[in-house]
Amino acid sequence: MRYKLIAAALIAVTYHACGVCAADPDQPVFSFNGFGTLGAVHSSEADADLVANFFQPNGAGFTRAWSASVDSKLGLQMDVHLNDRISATLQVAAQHRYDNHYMPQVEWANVKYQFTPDLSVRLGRTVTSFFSVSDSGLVSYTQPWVRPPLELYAQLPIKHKDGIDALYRFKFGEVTSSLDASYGQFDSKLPAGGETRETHFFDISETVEYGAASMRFGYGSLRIAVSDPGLTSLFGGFTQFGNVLAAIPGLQANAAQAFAIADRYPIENIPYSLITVGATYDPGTWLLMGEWVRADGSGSIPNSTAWYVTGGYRIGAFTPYLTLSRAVAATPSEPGISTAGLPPQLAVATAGLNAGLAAALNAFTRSQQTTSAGIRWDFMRNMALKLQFERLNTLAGSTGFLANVQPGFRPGEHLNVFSATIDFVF
Amino acid sequence: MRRTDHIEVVVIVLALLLSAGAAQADVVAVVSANSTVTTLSKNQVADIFLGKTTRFPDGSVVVPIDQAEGTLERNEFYIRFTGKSAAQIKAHWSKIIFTGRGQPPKALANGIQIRKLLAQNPHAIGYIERNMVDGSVKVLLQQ
Repeated sequence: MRYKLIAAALIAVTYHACGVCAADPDQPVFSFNGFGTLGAVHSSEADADLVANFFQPNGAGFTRAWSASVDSKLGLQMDVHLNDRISATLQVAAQHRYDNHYMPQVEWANVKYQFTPDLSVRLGRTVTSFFSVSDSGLVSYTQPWVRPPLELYAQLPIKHKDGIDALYRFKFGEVTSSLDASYGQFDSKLPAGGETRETHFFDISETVEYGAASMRFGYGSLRIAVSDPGLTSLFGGFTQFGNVLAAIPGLQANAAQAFAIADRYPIENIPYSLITVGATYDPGTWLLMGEWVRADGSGSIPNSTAWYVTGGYRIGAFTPYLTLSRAVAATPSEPGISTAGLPPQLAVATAGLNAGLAAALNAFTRSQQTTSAGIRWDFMRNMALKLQFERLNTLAGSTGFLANVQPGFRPGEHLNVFSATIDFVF
Repeated sequence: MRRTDHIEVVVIVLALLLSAGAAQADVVAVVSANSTVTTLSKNQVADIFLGKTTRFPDGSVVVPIDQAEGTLERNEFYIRFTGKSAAQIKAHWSKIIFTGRGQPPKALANGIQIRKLLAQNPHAIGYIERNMVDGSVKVLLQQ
């Protein structure tokens, strides 16, 4: 349905166009561009998969030692510049998605109206620009690393949003200020039959640039819903078990605990908010950038703090770089249903439910840190080769941002990840 | 390989590097002789060519014109005014293109074409080798 609306909007604007076609004769009406990455990743951890985002069903490590699916992608974009005021963008990208296929998906489909040279509004699908490279996250060629540091970038679990955004950019002398505000929603299927829906997503960010230096401040708030067959049956289990306990005299308190859990932890429109600060200094021969975020959730989604810093030095066509990144989520203190005073059979069932809850909560408590060193080689115009070595540690009993975690996985152990990619734009 | 061979290789590589460095153009930023703009700082020129502004400091519209990719003038201009290599400029514009925020400046094949366009368009800004400057264009003095 939404695709039809977007298509209708694009067509409407295209027809409207020729009435106002006079415009700038120098600017082509249509521009076509593309980007892509061909990559291979190896992970030393056989009991978990390294993935690039929550939407990938498998990756490197457990499923296969070497994986091409983590980073490989291809995108095509068409821009329609009708006149100085109206333009439209359509971007389609193929990458490893929830169903283990690479069917292209629409990442961008919007119409932009330039009210003044300083103020533009876009309507349709845009990629959220919350963090400094989130809006160009797929275009690895534009980034120093093989992929944006997951510790920070995964804190906003959104690929794009359908809605509206406005950008107001103005200059104070040599200082450029860009104020970006947006409102919209996102939904996507997840691996293993799940689905996620982020609504009421509002964000505002301010970027101040002066010469080679820039700083960014942002605030965002949204509501997160995740439906997953495993979670549904777990919380259904708590409700049913609560009913059983409630029918037994003397176990009302335990029943109340079961109902409270079944009420508190399902991920149904959980309010989630983030504040972020970032800075970049890129005078040419070297590069320094860093970002920090504080995210506040509730229920199953814990509060988290994450940051990274990256430094790079350019020697001709080579840019060696080093990145430190870390995410720490507050471990939820949820004792589960008390087993005190329960008959033995019920105590066993209770312990089983409690263990299931602890595992579910732990999966959302993502704490990990990564030290990575790599080199980018701009070996051709439009193409770059990157080699990156990462040493990743999950923290404090967490399984971090890994997927398909197997019983043999030991939290806290480090894993070594090696990635090689070729990025291109055309 | 004998040790002296290594030294020879090193000398050849150094010579190549030095000769690459020597092939430098003296590039200046220029506007039409009819333009009202006379001075721009390095950062102001950089902001125009990096798409960070669409206007001259006096508020009039500016249209930046590049030289073709791979030309000596282009590489030298960006190094001098923005401190960025051709690959960094490519990455910069890729970021803008793929966020739907714009397209890079139009490029012309050489300095003669730039001069010709500037003569006709008081809003345009370009860059050419200093020895190509004539009465149709005005060199922007850096503040």
